[in-house]
Amino acid sequence: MDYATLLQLLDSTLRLATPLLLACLAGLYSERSGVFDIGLEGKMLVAAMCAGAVAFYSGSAWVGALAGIGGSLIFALIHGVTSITFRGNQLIAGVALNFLASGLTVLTAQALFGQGGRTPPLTGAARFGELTLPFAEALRPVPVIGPLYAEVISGHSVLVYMAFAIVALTWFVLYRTRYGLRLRAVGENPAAVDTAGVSVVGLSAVRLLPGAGDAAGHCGRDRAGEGAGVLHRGPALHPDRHRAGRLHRQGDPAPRGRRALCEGTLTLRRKSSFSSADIPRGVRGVRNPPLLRPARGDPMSDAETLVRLIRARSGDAPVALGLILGSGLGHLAHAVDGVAIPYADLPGFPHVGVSGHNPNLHIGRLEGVRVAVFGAREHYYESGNPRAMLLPLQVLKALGAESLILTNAAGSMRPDVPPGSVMLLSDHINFSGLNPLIGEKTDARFVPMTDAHDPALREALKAAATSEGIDLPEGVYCWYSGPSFETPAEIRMLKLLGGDAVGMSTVPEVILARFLGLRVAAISTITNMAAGMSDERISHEHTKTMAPLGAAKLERILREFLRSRH
Amino acid sequence: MGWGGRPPFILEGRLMDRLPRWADVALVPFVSLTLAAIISALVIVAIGQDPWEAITVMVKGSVMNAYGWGYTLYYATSFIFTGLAVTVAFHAGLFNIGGEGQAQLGGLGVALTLLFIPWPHWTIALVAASLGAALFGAAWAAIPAYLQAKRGSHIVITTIMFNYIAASLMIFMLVDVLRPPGKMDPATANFPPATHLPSFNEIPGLNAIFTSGVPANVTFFIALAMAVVVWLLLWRTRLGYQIRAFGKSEPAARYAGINPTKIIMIAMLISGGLAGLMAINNVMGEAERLLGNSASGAGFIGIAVALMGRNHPIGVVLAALLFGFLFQGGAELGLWTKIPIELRTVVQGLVILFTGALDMMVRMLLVRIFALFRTSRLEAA
Repeated sequence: MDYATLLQLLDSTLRLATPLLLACLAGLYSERSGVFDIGLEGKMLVAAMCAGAVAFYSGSAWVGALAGIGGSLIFALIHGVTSITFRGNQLIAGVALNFLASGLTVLTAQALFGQGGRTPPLTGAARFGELTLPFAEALRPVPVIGPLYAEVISGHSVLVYMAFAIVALTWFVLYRTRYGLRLRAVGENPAAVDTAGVSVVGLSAVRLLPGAGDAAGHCGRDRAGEGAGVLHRGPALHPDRHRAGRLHRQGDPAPRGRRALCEGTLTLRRKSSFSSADIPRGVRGVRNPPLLRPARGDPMSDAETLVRLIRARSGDAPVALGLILGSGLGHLAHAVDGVAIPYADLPGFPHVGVSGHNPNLHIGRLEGVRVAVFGAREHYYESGNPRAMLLPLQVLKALGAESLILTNAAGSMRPDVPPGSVMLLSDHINFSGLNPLIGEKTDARFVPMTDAHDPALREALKAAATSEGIDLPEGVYCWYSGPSFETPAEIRMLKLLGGDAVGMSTVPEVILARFLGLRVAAISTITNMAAGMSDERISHEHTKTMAPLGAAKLERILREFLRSRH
Repeated sequence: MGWGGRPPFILEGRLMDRLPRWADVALVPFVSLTLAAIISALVIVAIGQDPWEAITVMVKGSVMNAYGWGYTLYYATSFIFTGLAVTVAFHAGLFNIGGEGQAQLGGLGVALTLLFIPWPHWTIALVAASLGAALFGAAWAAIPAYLQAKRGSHIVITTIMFNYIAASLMIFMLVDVLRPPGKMDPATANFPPATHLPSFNEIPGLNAIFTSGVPANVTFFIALAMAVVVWLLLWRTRLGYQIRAFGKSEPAARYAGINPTKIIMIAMLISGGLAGLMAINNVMGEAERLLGNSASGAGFIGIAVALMGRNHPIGVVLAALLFGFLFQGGAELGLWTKIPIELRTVVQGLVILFTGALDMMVRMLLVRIFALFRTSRLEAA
């Protein structure tokens, strides 16, 4: 390791140690006063959320920092009232506050910003910038010490310096003030202090406030200030993840302890290529939508206008679920008890030309669940636009749907999944190299795709298949742009890459749905073996004749799935 | 149950014994739950959603049909095990917060038992896997127990630390040791089909009710049996008496000749074993292979379940059902409404706060109300 690397290492050590240091100081105050504060975690989370949100609204890092302290003080107050005034068990109260914080922060951030339980990225004055200490540049040429001063000591955010100053301050408070003496005395022997006429209850309360509250608050605002300041949920896959200060959150209390050491463990998790294993099932990568943005141009009203137009015909009740039907599945659309609106009546909706498709939007009840069924989709190969389905999906989202089920016809690359069977997509490979999100302007375009195919929906679909007695294997779907079919060599390659089925749709819709925050699952009906897998000649005509076999199975699965949700 | 002629309260701190037993057992938890529900409803209103819709979706999706019950009971099964684990330790005055890690290790025990020995039938496999799960869970609790008994290390801290160690150990085991060659998924291979535990929809009789595939399986009955066993142990055996005596007062127990080291070790081993047993439900009964983060928070929820259930097996079973409902209902919320799934974490937090920590507040409130009734009755007489 050369000197420069060592300096870099020390530099990030200082930065990453700061939140830990502040949390430790909070723990120190409570330990010294005889309280084991297990709720530090929750206080830090609340502080992070308050700091991030208020810094965003106010545009000031300092106001955000104060809000962070305020938020954690409120939690400290609840903790204090519970365990002191009402003599509740402080450990239990701490556990409860941790649960509360890990849920409330996501709920609040989601309600305020609608970005999947995260606070928005902070820019400019809403973040604490780097402080360059005096003479840092002037001293840089001095051997050994110069770079150390310029690289390691200088150039941190003000919070890093404050954290170290607080260490000294804490020593002074504890050992050189009357308050410190009393605080330590309460911790060591509450009965003696009580006898001496000092209010144990009062002191303990006072200790909870500056101790846990303040330092935990510092930690939270540190998150807000130093890095991009995003309270972030979901897998640690963000391209910007190497920045310090993004508090990666997960949705469930299970790994919440790990979050305590926010930066420390974040580093660990980065190194593990299996980060998704840490994340509880059912919440992996579930993000909510960025602002609805129209497909083309800037008529912000596109989706809204369409929704008004649609609601005028279908009624105002929100739909629970969207369904996009692939080749040969049009029948299910006609089973919807409600209205059918031709795509032609919906400006901006795709002009679908493929034979065998049913270009209508059906809204109504299917097996008791209010659904929106898209009878047809526009494929990339039709006009070279991978974003073709963005507007329909925005409309679906605006109609109130939270989940989306996609269906398609695909060619199988697995001998054990013959034509006429159905396959649940466990994942996909975007073999086209295209992406519908290219051109999106905000960071929301970095959509995590771990568990893009929602585990909970998949479980429900599998359960539906089981109870219908239909075999529903899972597999990986490869998106091939089309419109020509694949060559046998390409199929051999896709097989080697881990694909199970190949088709010309669905993947862009999965990406768009995840971008919009819809939960999504997809099922393929296998209409043929992929090229070279058998001697059948592949043609569209063939697809159209084989599709009904799998389609009948798929319809039963979807109906049972909806019934079970009713 | 009379008032014994004493004034309704002397000191606020001694209010505990001033409530009739029925109020203590039923009314206090009920009021606590109501308070938690009211605040949850306020939270839902605050995020701009409809609490009535939320409760309708939760109830519909978890207890209004067999399918929902299949999930609710599945979650409840896990929570009964972890709740009992916390209960046993609690009676010995120990706060076992490490149920999560012990349950994960239990999963490892199940996986090792089932993967490497060809069991002829699921019944035999179930016995073996239960032993494996309990053994691994107990082993994981043994070290913190020993440190507490011999070195006085705070059991809360050590068990929390052991949760982290367990998590890392499991990642290592799944990624580097047990992952079948050629697979990318950090999970073991599937267990042999012979070890498949019957789900409710496969049990004759029950399958008339549970017509579609549900995760609830025979483990549910084992959980109920364990609740009975724990009750017998704590209130009908000499060991149980020793555990409770030690938990009530260590000096008194020591004076009575009870060996603290022995009691701490035994109580924690039983506790860890119970937490480990949870793995039969989720690892053997549901996933049928060992996945990462297999306990998915049930170890922590066990704390809430035990508190809510007043550390009594009957209470634990009832509280586990409630939390099973919250868990399944919360998942339904996330699936079918705009309310994020995290609401269930908030509700859990509130339930723990009110039933576990703000107990005294509710009691004080109730005692005031009872006193009010009493005074008015006296005046009327």
